[in-house]
Amino acid sequence: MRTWTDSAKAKLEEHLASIQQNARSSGADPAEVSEDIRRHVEEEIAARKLEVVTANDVETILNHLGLPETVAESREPSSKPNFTEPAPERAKTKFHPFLLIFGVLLPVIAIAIELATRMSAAIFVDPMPDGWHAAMVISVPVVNALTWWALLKNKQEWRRWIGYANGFALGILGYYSAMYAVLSPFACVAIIAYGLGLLPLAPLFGFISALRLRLLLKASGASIDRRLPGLGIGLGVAVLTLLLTALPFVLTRHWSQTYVSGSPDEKKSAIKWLRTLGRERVLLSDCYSSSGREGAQVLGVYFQGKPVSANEARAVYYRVTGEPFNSKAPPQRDFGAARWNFLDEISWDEEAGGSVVGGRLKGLSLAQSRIDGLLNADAAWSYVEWTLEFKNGAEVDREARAQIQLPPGGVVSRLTLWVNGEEREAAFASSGQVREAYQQVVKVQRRDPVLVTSSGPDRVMMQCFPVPPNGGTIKVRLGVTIPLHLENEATALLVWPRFIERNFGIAEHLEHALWLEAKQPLQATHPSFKSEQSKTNTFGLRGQLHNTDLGAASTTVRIKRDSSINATWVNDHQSNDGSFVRQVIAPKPGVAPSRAIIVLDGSLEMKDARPQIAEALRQLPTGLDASIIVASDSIEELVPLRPVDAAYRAELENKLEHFRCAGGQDNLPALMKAWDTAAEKPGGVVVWIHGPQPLLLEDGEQIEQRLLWRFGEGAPVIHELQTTSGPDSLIQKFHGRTAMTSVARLGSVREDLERLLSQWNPRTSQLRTVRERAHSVAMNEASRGKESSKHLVRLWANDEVRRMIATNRRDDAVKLASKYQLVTPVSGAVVLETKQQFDQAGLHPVSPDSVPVVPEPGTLLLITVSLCLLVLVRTRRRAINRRDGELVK
Amino acid sequence: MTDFFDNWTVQVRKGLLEVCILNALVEKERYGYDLVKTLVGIPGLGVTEGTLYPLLSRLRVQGLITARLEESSAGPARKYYSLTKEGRKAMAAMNDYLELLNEGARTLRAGGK
Repeated sequence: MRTWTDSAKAKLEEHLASIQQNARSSGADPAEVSEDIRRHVEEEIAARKLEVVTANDVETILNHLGLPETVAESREPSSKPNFTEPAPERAKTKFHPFLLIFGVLLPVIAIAIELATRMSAAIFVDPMPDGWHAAMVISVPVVNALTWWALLKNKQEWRRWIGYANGFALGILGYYSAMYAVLSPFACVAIIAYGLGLLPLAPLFGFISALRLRLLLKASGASIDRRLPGLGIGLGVAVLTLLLTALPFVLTRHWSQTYVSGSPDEKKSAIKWLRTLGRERVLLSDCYSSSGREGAQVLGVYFQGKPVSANEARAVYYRVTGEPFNSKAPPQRDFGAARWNFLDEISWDEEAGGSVVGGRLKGLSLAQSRIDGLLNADAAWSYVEWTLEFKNGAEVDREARAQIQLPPGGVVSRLTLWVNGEEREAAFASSGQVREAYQQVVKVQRRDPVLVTSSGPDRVMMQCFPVPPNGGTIKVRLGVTIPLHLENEATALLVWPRFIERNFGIAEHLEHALWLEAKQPLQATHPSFKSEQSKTNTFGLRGQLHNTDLGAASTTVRIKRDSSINATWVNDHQSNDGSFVRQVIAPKPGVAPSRAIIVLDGSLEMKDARPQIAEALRQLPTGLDASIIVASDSIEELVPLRPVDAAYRAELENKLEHFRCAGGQDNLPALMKAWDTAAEKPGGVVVWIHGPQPLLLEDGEQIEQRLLWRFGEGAPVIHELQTTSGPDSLIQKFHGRTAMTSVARLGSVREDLERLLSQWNPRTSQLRTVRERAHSVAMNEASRGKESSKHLVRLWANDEVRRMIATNRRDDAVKLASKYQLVTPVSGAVVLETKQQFDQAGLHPVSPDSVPVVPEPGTLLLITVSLCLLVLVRTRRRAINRRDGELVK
Repeated sequence: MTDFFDNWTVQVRKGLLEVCILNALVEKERYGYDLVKTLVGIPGLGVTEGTLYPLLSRLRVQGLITARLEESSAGPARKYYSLTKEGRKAMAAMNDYLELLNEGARTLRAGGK
């Protein structure tokens, strides 16, 4: 550390003062000359390695330095230095508290509050939607702080790069000031009225502070260079950075807009761009955004691109990704906590009471799930009850909605809701009547109902309301009567019901608790299943399954049956005329269709299934007229209609290998074309192999016309095979309006498709189950076969309803379904809270005695009698023991 | 004669100082102290260090040179000077002019031919 004596300092200052006038008159900058000479003196001192600088040292150096020649010449008249000129200051430093507060502290506070609460993101616009934006925003107070520090400490050597950084900060602040400009008047009013509201003004104050800091920095270094570099380049870099960071948002939304409103060619192009460069997170965010907050605009300028509506975004999301938007939870903010998310939670659930599942609702989850079931392998039926408890962590009431895939041929035959701890039964009536009753209660009275309606072959829609807020729960139970699939005469199969689509979350740790009971041993290959045999001649199967495993082929349950039993019967409990229902299992030879048009979905979801489909299609019967159509961005005829032979198979294999799956495809045009081709010849069929179709992307009179005229007997049958679980609007559209059958998903895609194709082979036969109702006089009991349970009646009624729908006897179908308490394409089930609500809706809940239960009433009676006997035996034993004890005493 | 010569050299030096500074910066930028020491060391130029700083400042104000500061581990921050585009043009013109004058003087010495 070098020390200057006071006299040394005075000597130097005196010299510097003496040269001021002449420096000015020579056209030089006096302050600069002073600084230069001061620097020169310091260099000399450093070179001489002086620790203490005295006046003599300074004088020596200054003498060596000499006076400027012009000064020397002009000093003759007066040798005294001109002390009227102020001695130049080394640097004027000032604290500038307001610049520190508004340029640094206020932006830091605003950023910290936004990161902690995501307030702006929730109510206006997200200033930091990703890491790049966050880095840009955070750089602003850092640059302002460094500029302020450089001024305070006269860090002239920082001047150059701070000039650039300040230019960059000005660019960023200008952008955010413009973005928040629309809030500024409100913020000003809020400040005046309540003393609050500084945060929206933080960018503007930051901008003004950065500008002032720049001017001060420029003035401070004027002695070196009047110009402060970096404004243009800094602004340019800021604009470029903003463009680059906003580009994914702007482009994604631009292409979404083009897809929504463009011509067919523009739509195709937009989807291609979105699949290549679009940002999935932005699309998903728009699917869940009801107000378009993500793309807030000021004076018509959308800073992050103009978003499409939520419904349009959902269509775009499917076309781009091939997945339903509600298969994903709403995107979380990349940065910071989200305490203001309650604003999302109180947003209106637009789908409440409707027939669409809609997006995941925040806070709503499945809290508990159990499935209990009984199997009767000999009679080939099963009855399972699925008990579901929903929990709502949000601040407002929620409606839980789900589309459920039933086991093949399954029918909902019971529905209950727990009201005040008591289980209430449902009323069964026409779909329209039960939905109206439900909507009335949900939307007007906002009390406890649950509704189940059909939403496709083997699909039902379940909705219940309200799941009370702040941790409240609601509990419902669905009973499903299921015909077991017969693998062969000695083995029957059961698959579990599962969710196709839901608006609630399922925690990763939650498992469905499963229990099945039967008189024969049960088997499932999934490792979580454990067999039990707690009672003689009664076998159990227990398992705990994650939701994703519920539909897996490994969870299919196999049960042995007595192959000699091919006929079972039971009295029709709903009729008083002594009728009975008889079920006969018999082999039936395969029947080849006149032609088969196979439609393959070209969506990305099909990618994994493609090799299996190729393998299964080798089984197409030789000689069958067949055509393969792919539903991709345009309809692609993979193999034209002609008889199947070796060349056909080779061409098919080659084409399937090279066909590419992309995004989500609208299958309707291809399906229409296939349906038309199949209809050209009686006995034609369509096989539609597809992934989920969450949205009906195209609708109109063309399809309505076909649905109207191509109905009933002789209409081409559509066999649909869905490769992966998910919602399907096309199935819903066709459901109950044409001959569409679902290929039961019992194993892999290849196995299930091969099973369908084998039904076309006249040389092989398939086991078919036929249920018929007859009067008791038609057949004596001994000839009917083995007596079974009421579930046979329910299965017969379900078959009969479908036959009635197929022959356009819808009113009869509604009556029959209501009488036998079934949810069918024409009927539904609803549980209301009070008798008054049922009366108002003209509905009558079913009697608890008439509903199926697990265990069955017969078993219950047996258990009750056994318990009574046990109690009696124990009481008697105790009495004997007591008497014996008294005798010993 | 001596006084006359001294007065004449003062006049010549005054006129040459700017071009010497500009020529000293033609190859690379230099910091003030180094530049001043270099120029003072030129035989015959006979300039004091104190004279050069106002001259450097004037050239910068005139836009012929620019300056920037850089931290130095050996002492105070160094002020580096470099030529601007205008400075290069001016230096070239001045050098050409000096060449012309020298040529003229040599021609006169050789007998006016």
